[in-house]
Amino acid sequence: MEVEIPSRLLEKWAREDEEFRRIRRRCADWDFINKQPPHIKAALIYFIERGDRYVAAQIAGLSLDEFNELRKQAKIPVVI
Amino acid sequence: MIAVLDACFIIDWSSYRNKHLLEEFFKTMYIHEEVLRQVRSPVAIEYLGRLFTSGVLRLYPWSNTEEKEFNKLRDEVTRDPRIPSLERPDIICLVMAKTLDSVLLSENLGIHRVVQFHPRYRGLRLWTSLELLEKHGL
Repeated sequence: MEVEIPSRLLEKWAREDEEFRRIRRRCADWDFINKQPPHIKAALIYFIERGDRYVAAQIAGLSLDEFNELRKQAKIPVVI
Repeated sequence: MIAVLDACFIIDWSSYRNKHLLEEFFKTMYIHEEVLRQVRSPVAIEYLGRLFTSGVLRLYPWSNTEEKEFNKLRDEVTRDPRIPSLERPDIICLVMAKTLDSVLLSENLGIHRVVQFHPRYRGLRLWTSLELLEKHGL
């Protein structure tokens, strides 16, 4: 059974998601990202767009810690 | 005060030069074994090992009652695409913190969003590492 989410919260989350995405895109080291192997690049781009470290780590085939180190090298901030 | 730790918090905090402050803020902390399995870096594992050895960190004794609450919460939050994806360890941390009436230390946006709207979890105290430092005047 789903729990109702108030529309004002959904609007707030949509605004936050867009702002967080913009921050991650702006801060990212795209030279570093574009030089990575395909699965790593895909994971970093996923993280930039969605901000989910766990799923990004799965895409990259890395542990959460390993992906976190990669994220730092790519200069992508965690925004929350 | 008691705290529940999630993996992202541990991974970030273990790199912090003043990480010893965590033991000053909380006398007891709990971690679930599935969260522990997510942590693999030597720095974070060494840090957790030290916390376990000092007795301040304990493995949480997960129960059937909590598994039922886990299943219920999972069904309520994971099917909605408007909520960032939550994995099993994330939902486990929410259930633990609610059962213990503890602080949940998390850097996970999905967990933060659940606490913003879910009627059973709305009162949960949920802090990021920055909020933890801020609440202690740092």
